[in-house]
Amino acid sequence: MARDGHPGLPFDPKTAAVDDPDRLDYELGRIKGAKIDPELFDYLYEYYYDRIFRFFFNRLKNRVDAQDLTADVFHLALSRLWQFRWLNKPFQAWLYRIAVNRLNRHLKLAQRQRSWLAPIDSMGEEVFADSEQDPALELEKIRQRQRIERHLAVLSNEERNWIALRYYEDLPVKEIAAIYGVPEGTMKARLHRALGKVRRAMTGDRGE
Amino acid sequence: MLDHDDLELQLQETSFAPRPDLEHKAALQTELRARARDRHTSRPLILTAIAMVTLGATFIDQPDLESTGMWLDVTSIIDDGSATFSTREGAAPSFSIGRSNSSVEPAELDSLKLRLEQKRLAYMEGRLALNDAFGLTFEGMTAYHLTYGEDRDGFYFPVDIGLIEDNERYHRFIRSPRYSEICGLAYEGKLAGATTDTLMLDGHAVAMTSWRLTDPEFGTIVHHLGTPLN
Repeated sequence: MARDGHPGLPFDPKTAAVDDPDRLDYELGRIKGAKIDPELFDYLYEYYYDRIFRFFFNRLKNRVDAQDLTADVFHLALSRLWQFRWLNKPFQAWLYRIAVNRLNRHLKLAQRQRSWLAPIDSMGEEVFADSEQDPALELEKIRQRQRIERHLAVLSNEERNWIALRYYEDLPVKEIAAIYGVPEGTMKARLHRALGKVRRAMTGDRGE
Repeated sequence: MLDHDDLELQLQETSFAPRPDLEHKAALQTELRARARDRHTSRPLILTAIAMVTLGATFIDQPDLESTGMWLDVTSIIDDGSATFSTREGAAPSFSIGRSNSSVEPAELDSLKLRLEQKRLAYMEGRLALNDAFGLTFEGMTAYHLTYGEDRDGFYFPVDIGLIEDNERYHRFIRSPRYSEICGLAYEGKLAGATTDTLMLDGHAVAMTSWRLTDPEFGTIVHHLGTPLN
């Protein structure tokens, strides 16, 4: 990424935290620049590729689909970059909004809602292949995830997106609210209700 | 008894962090760079707006455009027979024109192109007055449209907050009789419960009046009607 080489910067824009004010300034400069010279999009791609891929992977548990959708998101973002405005919505929220829309369309078209449980059964091989952790620990994690996912089935697709953004992507509630264009309190309440549904499903399942 | 904190912890602990396929990542980056280069070299000016010129002729038939040196993409087709076309140079979307029940004849293209260019220049030079603004908030996302120039040959500047254009239900709603009814009532001053705000849109201060309504089929929507303060 020769174009991104800025050895004089007091921080590393590639590894700085997403909400680091210096990085945000740098990112805004890149966005403005990319509207004039789209090759400057490189930085945005490098910084966000892994995050967007991980979001799709956690939702779909299928590498090929996650890669395809990630590609769609970046193609769409590049072609629509001129639409992005700094309206109190960070670039990350704008990008995740594209991802959520793309995912919803994918799920709708493929009618995958019903196969929410299916792909995870084939996850083991892939997770092990990717992981540097102890296979026994990974296997336990997969089992635990399977148990939770069984109960997440009580949620709508959009509710699962909120859960994925908050707990799998670790986005702050404020950022998820920005993605959906709603007040932070509203998103907090939505997440709370969604968790409540899952919790009731889990405890009901245990007969408590 | 499982509480919220336990559940939150379980969710966090079971997040998968797969290693991205570096080959895919590099291939996609190459593809995006090529596309970016193509966009950059194919036009002298990157525009920050899609301008739409409403022409009111009859509908959709892609003509042989390559011979004219102009590309025309159908970007959306609406059930009532209207369509939006996007003109391109190379792969770069720039301005688009909306036509109602129209077919674009190759012979028309030069004049269309000329009109688009005139509108584009007038807009870029600030010679087109902003004369109207309207918008809709739907499922938490908002789209505003600013109208420059004259009604019949106007220039629409879309401000899309939250990619509402991707929302199929939104498109269904704005084609529904209910939306037409709401627009009519708003223009006639017959909608109750208005709130007002001043917004900066495309560099203009706009006094925006908004009405929150609940539709039995589409849920809560907010209809916006603006008056430019210039």
